[in-house]
Amino acid sequence: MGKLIRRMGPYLLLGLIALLSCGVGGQAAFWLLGSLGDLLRGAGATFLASATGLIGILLVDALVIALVLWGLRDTRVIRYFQTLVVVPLILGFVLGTSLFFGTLGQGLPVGGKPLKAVLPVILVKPEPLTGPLLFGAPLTNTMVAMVLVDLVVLGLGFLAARRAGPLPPPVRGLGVLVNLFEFLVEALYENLAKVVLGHRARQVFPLVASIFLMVLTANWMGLIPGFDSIGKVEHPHGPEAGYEVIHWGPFAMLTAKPAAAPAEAAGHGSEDQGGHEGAEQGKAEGFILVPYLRALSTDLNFTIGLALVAVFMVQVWGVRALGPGYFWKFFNVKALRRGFMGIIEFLVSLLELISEVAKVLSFSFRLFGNIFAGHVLLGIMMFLLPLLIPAIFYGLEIFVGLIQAFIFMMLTMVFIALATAGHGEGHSEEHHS
Amino acid sequence: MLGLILAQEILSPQALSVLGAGLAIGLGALGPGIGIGLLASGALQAIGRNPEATPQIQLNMILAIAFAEAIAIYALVVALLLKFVA
Repeated sequence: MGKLIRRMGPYLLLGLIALLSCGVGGQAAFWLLGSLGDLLRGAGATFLASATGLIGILLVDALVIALVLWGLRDTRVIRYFQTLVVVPLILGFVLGTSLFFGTLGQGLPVGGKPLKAVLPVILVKPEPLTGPLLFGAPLTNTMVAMVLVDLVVLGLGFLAARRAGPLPPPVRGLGVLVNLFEFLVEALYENLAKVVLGHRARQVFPLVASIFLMVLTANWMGLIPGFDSIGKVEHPHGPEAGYEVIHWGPFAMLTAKPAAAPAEAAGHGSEDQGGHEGAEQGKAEGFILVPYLRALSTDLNFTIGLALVAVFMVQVWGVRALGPGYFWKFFNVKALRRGFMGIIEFLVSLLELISEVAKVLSFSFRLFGNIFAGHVLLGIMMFLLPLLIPAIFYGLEIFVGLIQAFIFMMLTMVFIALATAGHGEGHSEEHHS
Repeated sequence: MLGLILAQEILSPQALSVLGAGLAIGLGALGPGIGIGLLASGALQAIGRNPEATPQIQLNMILAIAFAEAIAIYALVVALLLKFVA
């Protein structure tokens, strides 16, 4: 098993290179050139209420669970008292606080501006963090996230591979990680890859497992508080008005007070250097948050890149299994000899080609749509009721992230299995006729 | 009808695109919703009849659900495009 893990390293690197080159305009390895100074030059780090909200959720959940567990230890009467009175009390308190900081409440007035959850500005495109760097493309926040994901996956993989093999019983520290990794790889290999791919599992497994690990890490990493909520504050480029901010030294925080509309804002005096710039260009005075990190799968460039890699590798395995004859599947010229039905067979084989393109589309949009919609959902729930309720959707998103990673891997395996076996049926059919 | 509404400025083009986004995801989620329901019902019946085959049935069910769900995702993408891009 250790050998298998070790073999995944090069595939991961290959995937990284392919994915980066599949990004905007084929620019690779920007992050080497990414100017850190420009990243930090903005208005400083910003904490949205979502980060604090999430910590609040975790605290409240821990409290509720601890209370319930504490109640379970005691006699039955006390337990019922706790369940019936204390837990609803806490939940009610949390809901009340939630309303106060949510869309219906007043929020905490800080410097005359309400501090409560802000409705996030939803952008389909990833936000650029720098100016044009390489081939005119900027460094976007999803690219930073991608490098992070790669570092985590590669780091875990290499750490696990270095120590792979049977370990002596008192396992702790790095050993736990190695065991976890081996468990994961073994579970995927024995229960899934072998069932779906048969004797080819050993060769194909590194690719599909890399896809799984990468998408899983990307999806779960995007849920860490700080993603989507820490960044620099900027004036909006679009028609939105933005929000007013509170400054604390180098830090700034968005408030829920909407900025004046652009037309009215022109008359106002500029308060700070940011407002000065805004008034000059006749733009809104408000600020929006440009996060440093954004969930990787909410960038179509990533999902399309991954889908292209997956579908390309399906073709590669098809050719490896069946030789150049694999492509008869798409241009079934041989069938033309068989008269009218042959022509229909030829047209069907052309449809096969279209379905190959559709695979790229459905792969990429499935992952993108699920994760993007999940993040919009989380943002809006956070805006409506910042505590307690988003925790449910947070759990749902963890599940969705796992399922989407699983489906991406599973479909790649199934498509490879179909591509390597598909022509076999054609052969038997030919012998038949 | 639509021209009349537009001419009288009852509905701006933005309002129409928001309406279109809502309709796209609403109607687009209908079919996949029914489809996933049917799939799950079939899978549950199969598991009820043959509990030993649960892992394989689950696996295939999740795969088929992914295909059904992809159609809802197309609708979602159209809705997102209408709302945030167009």
